[in-house]
Amino acid sequence: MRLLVLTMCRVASVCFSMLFSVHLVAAPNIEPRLSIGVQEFDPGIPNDATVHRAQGVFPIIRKAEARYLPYLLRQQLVADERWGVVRIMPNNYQAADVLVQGVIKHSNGQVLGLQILAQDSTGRVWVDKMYSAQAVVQDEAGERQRREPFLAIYRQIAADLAAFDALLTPQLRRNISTVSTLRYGVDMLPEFFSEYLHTDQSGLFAVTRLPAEDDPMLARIERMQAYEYLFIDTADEQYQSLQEGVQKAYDLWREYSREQVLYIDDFKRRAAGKKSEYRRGSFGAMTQSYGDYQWFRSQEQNQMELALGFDNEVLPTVVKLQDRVVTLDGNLQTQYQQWRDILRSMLELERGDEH
Amino acid sequence: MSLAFWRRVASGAFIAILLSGCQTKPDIEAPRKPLRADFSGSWEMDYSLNDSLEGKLDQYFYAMRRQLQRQSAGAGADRRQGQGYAQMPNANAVVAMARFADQITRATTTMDIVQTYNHINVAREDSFALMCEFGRNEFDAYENLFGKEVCGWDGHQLVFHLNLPGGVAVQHRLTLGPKGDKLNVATTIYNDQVAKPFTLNRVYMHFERLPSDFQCQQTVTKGKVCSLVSRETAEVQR
Repeated sequence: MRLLVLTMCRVASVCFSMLFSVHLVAAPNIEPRLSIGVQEFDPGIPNDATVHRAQGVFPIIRKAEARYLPYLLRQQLVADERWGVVRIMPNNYQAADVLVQGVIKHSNGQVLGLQILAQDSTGRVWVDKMYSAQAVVQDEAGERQRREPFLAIYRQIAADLAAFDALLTPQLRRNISTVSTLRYGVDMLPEFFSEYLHTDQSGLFAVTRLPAEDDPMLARIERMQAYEYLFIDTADEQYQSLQEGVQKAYDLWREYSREQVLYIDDFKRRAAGKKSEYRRGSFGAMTQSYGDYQWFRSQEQNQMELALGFDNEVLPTVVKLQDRVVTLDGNLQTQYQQWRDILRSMLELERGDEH
Repeated sequence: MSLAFWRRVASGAFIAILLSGCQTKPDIEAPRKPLRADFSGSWEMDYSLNDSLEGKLDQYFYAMRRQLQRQSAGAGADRRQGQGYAQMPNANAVVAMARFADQITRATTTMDIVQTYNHINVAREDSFALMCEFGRNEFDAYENLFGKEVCGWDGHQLVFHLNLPGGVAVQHRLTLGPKGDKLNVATTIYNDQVAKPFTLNRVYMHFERLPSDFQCQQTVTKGKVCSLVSRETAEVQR
């Protein structure tokens, strides 16, 4: 009952809610949709830099992939039309109903391996699974059309999330949304919101009780959450522009990489299947050995050249906040932290005004 | 260019470490203390100073013949003068090494070298770049399925050694001329079917590269594709 009251109360909290989160505007008789936050992936770069070259890991590419691949997943989730807002998040702040985190385990153009963990705000694990797929390159209508070669992975992740979501009752979904707001409150104002949440026997977050319908602190925290989404949505434009800017070079890089993998496979097959057609030490044998090496090395160097073209610089994010404009610098994680600090200081100021 | 300098360049003794896995046995000599010459800049081939392939082959066979003669004399056998190439042991393999050395070096008519204290990148026209990190370790090694590269300083000379499958190795030894305006690349081919390696020298002279009017882009299907940049744009870029 209190859940229902809280939901009603959210409906009344009008304009910000309309802008920021679907679950806040969900009327009780409408099937609530959960919001999803896809966190920037962990690039999975080995700490030992000496193994990068041997494992085909280009740190600069992996860092770009860590921001680019979540965007592709997000596009798939949006296309499914099953979810509320789907956002890419620079950091793990529990501001979404379902948080999707990933580690890039393998990426060489031919094979992509992602370890995906998806949890809702109560802490319930939806997906904890390794996804791996081979690149699919298709020629359509006689000419090559751009198609994401690892679309299968994103479809599978989206399908797994949808399958879990289908098991939830509307009541459970509302509960997840409530816990999301309260956890956000605990994160921003622990001294006020901690009493509303507890951890149950299975280690999941559960609602102890709900704040009063007209609790000013709840209204504030919802406003702050709305501002938080404002930042994320502004940053989202950066992800989009990164996707647009990087896609061409990244596709090229991935194709080089894929060709290399195929060439190595082919070479191994050739080497295992038969002896060289040339006599050892002959001109043909030397040319063949050198040719293989030259081809591979040239491909590798072209890849490196392309990798240098990846510009990971992030532009400053300019966000309008009430009567002022805030400019945030540094990478998105830093900007996000700056933004949260600003929001916290705003809360502190508002509370100070009360006392 | 002093004769002593080029003689030094031509002497192919290099490090035993680099040649592990290569069955030929060159003179083993410890590498000299690194002096790190500066090879930076653009270089183009000076054909007038290059080795003549035929001349080098003649020299090679002459030296082999002399060696055989000495061995024969030691064994009390008859001295035979004027043997042709075909009568030399492994003559075909030697000619193959010479052709191979010529083939892999001929296309590199220009080189662009970027060098810092710890790193060098020798971008060669029509071939892969030679790259070396000489920061912490004396030698930088790189290996893939198709071969193993080792590089490092040998005194003021920079050596790149590539071991390939099938008992073949390719070594490039870069030496800066005394005035800094000439660069010699001695390419030595080792072949486990032949006792003595074959070396071919290519000489490059320094030149100032003007900014290009072409804008190039790597493509997968066509390799590097370049298009002409308008004169105004090129001027702005300069």
